[in-house]
Amino acid sequence: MRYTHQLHHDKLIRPRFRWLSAGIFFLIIAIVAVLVGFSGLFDIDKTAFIAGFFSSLFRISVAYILAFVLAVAIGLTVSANSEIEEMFLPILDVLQSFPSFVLFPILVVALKSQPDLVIILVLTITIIWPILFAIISGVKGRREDLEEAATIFGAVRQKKFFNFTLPMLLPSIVTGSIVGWGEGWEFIIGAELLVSTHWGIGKYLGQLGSSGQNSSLFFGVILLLLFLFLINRILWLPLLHNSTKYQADA
Amino acid sequence: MSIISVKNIHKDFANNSVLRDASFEVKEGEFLCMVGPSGCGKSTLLRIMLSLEKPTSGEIITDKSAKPALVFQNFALFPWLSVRDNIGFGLKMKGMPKAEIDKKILPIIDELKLFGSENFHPKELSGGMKQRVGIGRALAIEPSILFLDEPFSAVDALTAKELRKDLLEIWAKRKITAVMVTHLVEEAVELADRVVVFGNDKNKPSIIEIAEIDLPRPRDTRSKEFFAEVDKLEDRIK
Repeated sequence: MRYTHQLHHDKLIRPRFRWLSAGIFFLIIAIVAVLVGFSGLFDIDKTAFIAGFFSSLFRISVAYILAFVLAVAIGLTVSANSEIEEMFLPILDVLQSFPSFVLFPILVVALKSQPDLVIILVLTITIIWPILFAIISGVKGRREDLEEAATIFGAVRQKKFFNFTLPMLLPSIVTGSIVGWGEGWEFIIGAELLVSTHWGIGKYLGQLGSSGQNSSLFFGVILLLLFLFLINRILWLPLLHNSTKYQADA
Repeated sequence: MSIISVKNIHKDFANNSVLRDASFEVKEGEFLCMVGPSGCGKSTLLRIMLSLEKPTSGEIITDKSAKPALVFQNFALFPWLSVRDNIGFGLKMKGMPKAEIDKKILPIIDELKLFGSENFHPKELSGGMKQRVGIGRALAIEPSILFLDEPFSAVDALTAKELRKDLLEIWAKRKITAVMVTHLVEEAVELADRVVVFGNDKNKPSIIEIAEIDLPRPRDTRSKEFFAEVDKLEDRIK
């Protein structure tokens, strides 16, 4: 028993070390890139870049939280019973194919004095779809006996939500979130070019481009990619790893 | 004294009759097995007795003091929880503090020979171990009636034998009522005080017979008397 326990222990710990060492490796690359990038060599405005990046990160984070809450609420409501699902799923499918950029002109007119709110709203509509559909398919693919076990052993209402539904859906939610988060970054660059905001990474890169600072623009894009890569490494991949580690048959 | 009364239960699934006029009583403290060929409705009746499903007609009268728990055929353990947390799940849902849960489940972990595996996750356990956790999760809430839905059909024969022995010990020690579904007549004869025999004839009531098993305990599963009981019941099912 002790021997198998030891073996098992190694198996659990090793991947974590691998994650850690990979994380450190990328962190070093990122630090070097930041030092080079901000050394003045590429003429990148440190303040504009960092303030821009964090403004964009803030907008995406707010939009992500909104999208997450909405997706969980809508996803669980729609998949609560098959009749509701049959009615709403086609509607959601059509809405999903609707390009969210189309909403821009309408929202810009409607919320003229609130450019941040416009970006966050349209971002939310962009990020929500992959999370929502991941949740719906996660609910569909659930094991009924697990749900019965939860019921029999007393998980009702919010207890069921926090102790059964959420942990059961976590792998789907994380997968959907990774896609949604990525689409959010794609989207925000364009959005910040269209709506006039004070700070924003999209806005800053756009300025570099339009003023012809090509090498700065090039290195700025590389830096942005590195930052995003780091967020993936530090936040999403460990989440994905942890949420799927114990899933599969039980 | 009866703890559950099953009264004239009928169940149809899309015009297909699964249960027809099933009636019997579960007596307090007994070990009752429901046995029959696959598709005879025995698992469905178990689910109806647990209110997991509604009958088309008929009723289940359960004693108010009855506290049920269920052991599942495919274990139905929560994959994201450790062995310890799976066993303590029902207690956590009752709002019991963590320290108290740990204290309460320790003897169960010992009793089910799960000591040393408390922090493993279901994925890392063998089938037999998984079912021990399933039994532990059920025992933790101190049920007065333990339902078991083909609990040993997903584990190998040797493990099943061992688990049957442990289950009998648990049943005798805790003086609980046990209601178990199985498709193996031998298993029913080894374990049960009474066996409810189900048939598949759609024109007749689902229950063919309720047989008392008078063999003394512990039962010798290789004795002539044991095989005679098994043969008798198997003849009724055919």
